[in-house]
This record gives sequence, structure tokens and C-alpha cells, in this order.
Amino acid sequence: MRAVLFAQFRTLFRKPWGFIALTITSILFSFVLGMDGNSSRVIPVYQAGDESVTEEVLDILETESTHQFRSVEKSEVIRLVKEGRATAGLFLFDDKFKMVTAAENGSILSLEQQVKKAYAKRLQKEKLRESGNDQATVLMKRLEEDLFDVKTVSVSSEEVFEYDNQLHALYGMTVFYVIYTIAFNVIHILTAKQHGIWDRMILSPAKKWEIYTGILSYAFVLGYMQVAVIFGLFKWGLGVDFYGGFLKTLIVMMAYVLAIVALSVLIVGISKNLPTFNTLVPLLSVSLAMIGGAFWPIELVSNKYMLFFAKFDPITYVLEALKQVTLYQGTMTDALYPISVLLFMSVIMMGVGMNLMERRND
Amino acid sequence: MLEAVDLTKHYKQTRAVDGVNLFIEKGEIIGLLGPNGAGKSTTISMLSTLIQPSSGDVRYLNESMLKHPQKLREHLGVVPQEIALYSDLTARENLEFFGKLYKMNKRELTKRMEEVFQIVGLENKQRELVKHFSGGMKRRLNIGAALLHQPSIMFMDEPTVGIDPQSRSYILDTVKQLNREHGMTIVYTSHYMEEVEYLCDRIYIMDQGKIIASGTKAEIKNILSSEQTFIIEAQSFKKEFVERLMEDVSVRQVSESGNKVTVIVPKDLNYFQTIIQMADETNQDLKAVEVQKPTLEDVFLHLTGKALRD
Repeated sequence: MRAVLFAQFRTLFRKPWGFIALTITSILFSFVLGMDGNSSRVIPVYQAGDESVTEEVLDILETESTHQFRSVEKSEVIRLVKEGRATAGLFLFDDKFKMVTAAENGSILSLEQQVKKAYAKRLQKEKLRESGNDQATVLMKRLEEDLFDVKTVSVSSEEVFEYDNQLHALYGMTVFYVIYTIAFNVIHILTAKQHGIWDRMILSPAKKWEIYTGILSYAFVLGYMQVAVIFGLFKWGLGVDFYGGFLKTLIVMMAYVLAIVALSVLIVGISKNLPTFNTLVPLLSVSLAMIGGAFWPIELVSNKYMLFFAKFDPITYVLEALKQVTLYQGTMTDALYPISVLLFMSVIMMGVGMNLMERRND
Repeated sequence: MLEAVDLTKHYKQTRAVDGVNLFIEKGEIIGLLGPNGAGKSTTISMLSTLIQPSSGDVRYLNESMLKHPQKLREHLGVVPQEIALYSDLTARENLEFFGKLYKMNKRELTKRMEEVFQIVGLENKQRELVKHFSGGMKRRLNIGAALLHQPSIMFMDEPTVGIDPQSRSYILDTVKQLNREHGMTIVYTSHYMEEVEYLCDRIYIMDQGKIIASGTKAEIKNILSSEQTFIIEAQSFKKEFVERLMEDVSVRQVSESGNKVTVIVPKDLNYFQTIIQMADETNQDLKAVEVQKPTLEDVFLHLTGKALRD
């Protein structure tokens, strides 16, 4: 195993550009897509109704929504949405609102829910104010402090979901690009076999499991290193908010990186040669990323076939676990289910992949 | 010392190796000859315990190696047909890698690397990247990697493919030297008849997965002792002349290649006169008619009906 790691790391030091390029690409895409989301999180608002009413709704929204709001002129709302500088614009009336959007997405659905909630809350306050007794004053006070416990629901639920575009872009791009980093290191099993190096290793006193462990642990370390560098850079370099769950994301990613190592072993097992492997990797990685919700939130997907396939996609589970420990501020126990699925997938894919590889050897 | 007993390997419908029996004695150089697809590499892979035979046995010192190959593997060095090296590492790093695989300690490895570099003549190229090596240098290092753990048996699968004559001659001398000075047992496969003639004590000729002839060089050549070979040379050959040769019942084989026709006939026949007569009758101008001693190439042609490099 030591020998295999020695050769792998020496090769990396001599030719680090593939690894560096993938890391930089991942960072760039996370940054660009994440930043885009930030600028469009400011929602232009035109207060069309009575100022005291709409001001109160706006106050509630500013306190409770994940969006930011800015009062502007009527024409400005339309212009900002048209130019794509805002994902949506709001026209607030006394007892209703209008929303203008360029396209429907998860963020819009979430905003709509939040505005409805704000109107309902204002109405409740108004009714309590009108009743004017002591009990009403107490209820008013409790309403200010949130009358009900707000429970944030899991992404698998069909209810409204929380969404942080910046984090989603970061997670999506990282889990997507790391597939390439890992797969193109696990490929070493195939190249070593084609060049005869594998036969030499087999004839040596090194055990087969040591050789496999050497190659796979190297792929794991490299993939994990890439993830840690990217997450670290976004946390400390760009100040991205991980909602206090940074360390937990690193733990979650261990399970994911392991699953991708196992997936790569499966691809090597299926591939007869390098060209097949090189075709399968991009094909699978893009499909998995699309189905699993790396490019857009899976909550937006309504196609039942895509949702069915997502159940077999490691990306679905890693994103769910990552959101649990950051956006929903859950504990590791909350992320236990998706992590367990990832580990289960790792065992299955590794087992089948190894079996196929060994059968091919004979 | 090492034996193949009825070795057979089939992949689905194809029989790559079909009931091969051979033995290798300590300290000899064995040649394994055969055209592409004859089953040489598969035989070597089974003998070196890299692939399991479909049936048959590999015996080392009278013990079967199929279940417990380690005993043979520790004495085995394999030089594969491919350049089984890391091209992005230096020559020294490559040997370090193989040394670590054989769990050699640092001091032993350093000493052994120096010896190996000397044997393969790459002392001054140790720190250069393999990808910058010439074909010949890569082949030499490929041999060096197999020598590192001092094996007593070496399998060399076409180790001189695609290299310049100088490197080829260096490799052949190295193989001879390893056998003479270190008593190494060598199994050498090649397309090049002259290499096998130069190096090997005994030869096995394979075709279509079977051993079709075996023995010492003299014994193999004796297969053709009852025949004689005529090489006829001309500016160009007339169709009638070649047809007359082919129709002659006393001729065992005729093959035309460029401006030469090779004819194999029984030894006791005075065929020189017949050739001249046929040329006269068909108005065929001849440049030369040569009677040739049988070579291994002739034996091969005789046995398989095709040239070795077909």
C-alpha cells in the first residue's frame, strides 16, 4: 500500500494541473452561481396600498423572510425584474399582493409563502388591536414573539423549503466536480492493468487488498482534500455562512466522497477499457448531478421519473444531509438517514464493482 | 523445475491455449515462438500464475501452483510486452516503487538499484523521467524493474519489440549475461527468429494455441532434414512458371515473395535441373537459383504454412 501511495503522490507532485484545474473550476462556478443568487435576493417592492398597512407587512417580511426588500417606484419594479436584476418584484396592496417574476423557481415559491404569511400575521395583529382588551394585549405580545413554533421541514417534504442559493451553488458544484477528481484517480486501476504494472504488482508480495486500498485511499484523500479546500476557501476567504455547521459538512462529505470512490470502482468494473471509462464518467456525472439536484434544487422537480431515479443518486442524499446540517441547522443525527444511505450505496457499488473487476481478470 | 501440464485456456468460444505441455529446466533459456495470436502471452500468463487456466496445471518443483502461487511468484521476474512503468516518474522512482512492493529495506533497495542500473546500462539516466526515454531505454528499464528482487526465473514477453538494433543487441547480450553469470532460467518469446536462434537452448513452436514442435535448435531444424529449399530469384515471375512449380507433385511447398520464389522439395531429388528446365519451357528469365540450408524460419513456414511475422 505504501508503494502504491508513493507512486501516486509522486505522480501528483509532478503533474498537479488536473487536480488544480478541477478545484479552480469548481470554485469559479460556485462563486459565479452563488453570487448571482445573492444579487437577485433583493426584492423590489412598490407600496400600492395604504402606506401604514403595506409598511407593516414590509416590517414583518423584513423580520421573518430570508429575502431582503427595497421600496421602489412602480416602473422600477418592472424594470429590475425585466433586466433579471431581481428574481421577483412585489406590489403590496391593503389586503392583497401581486408578484411579478421572470421565471418560476423554488425561491419564488418560498417568497410567495412568506408574503402570504406576512399578510396573515398583519391581519391577526389588526384584529387583536381592534378587540382592545387585556387578553388581546397579551396575545399581541406573544404574536410578536411568534405565536407558534416554526418548524423547518426536510427537503423531501412537499411543503415549503428553505433555500440558500449561495450554499446550494457551492454544494452543487463541489459534489459535481469532485466526481471527476475521484474517478480520474480510480482509473489508475484500469491504466495499471492495461500497461502491465498491475501484473507486476500482483506478482509481488503485496496483497491484492493492499493494492486496491492504496489506489482507492489515494482517490479518497485527493477528493476529500478538494472538498475541504473549496469549503474552507468559501468559509474563511469569502465569508459564506454555513449556519454554524461547517465541521458537520466536512463529516457529511466523507460519506459522499466514499460513495463516489465506490461509484468509480463500479464504473471501472463495467468498463472494458479506458475509452469506455472516459465516456461513462462525464455521462454519469452530469446525469447524477441533474437528477440529484446539484444544478437546481430538487424541490423544483415535479417529474415523477426523475424523482424516482433521484432515490438512487448519491447526490440527492449528500445535498439533503448538507442542508440538514447547515440551512436547517440540524444535528448530525438529523443527517443520519442520508448519510446511512450513502454508506449503504458505497458498500453495494464497491462490492459489485470489485466483483466485476475480478471476474474480468480471469 | 517448472512444468505446464495440459494447460488450456478458453474465453467463451475461443480456445486461446489448447493442451500445452512444456517443461523448463533450471538454468536454461527456452524460446517460445509463434505468430500473433498463437497463445504465447496467454501461456506465459498462466505459467507465471497471473491467470488461472481453464484446465491443466502449472507445477513448480513438482508442486501445483494453482492454489498457492506465492512459492513460484517470489522467484519470478516478468518482463511484459508493454512498458510496465510510470512514465511520469524517473527511472529511479520507478525502481523505488517496485522495490517497495517487494518490501525491500532502504539500504538493500539502494544497493540493488545501483546494480540493476549497471546491468541495464542506465546508470547516468536514473534521474530522468521515463517519458523522455527512447524506446530502447524504456525496454531496458522494463527489464531492470523485473530484475530488482533478484528472481531466479525470468519470463520475457517480446522484450525487443519496436526498438533500434543497438538497444536490441544490448538487451540480447544482457539476457545471455543474466543466464551465464547469474544462472537465471529464462523463458523468451519473440517474433524474431534470429533472437531465439542466438539465445535459446530449446525451442517450443506454438500455433493456434498448440505446441506444434519442440526441441533443441538442431532437433527442430532436423524436421526439415528430409527436405531441401531452393530460392529462385528473377526480375519478375511469369504466372506459368509459378503455376508449373505448384502443379509439380514432387514439390512440397511453394511461396512467392516479391522477386523471390521459395520451393521446398524432398532432399534426394535433383531439383536444380528441373527448375532450369521449367524456366526454359516457360521463357522465364532467372537471376539466381540458390540451395539453402534449413533455418528455423523454414521450419516455422513448414509447420504453420505462414511466415512468423504474418
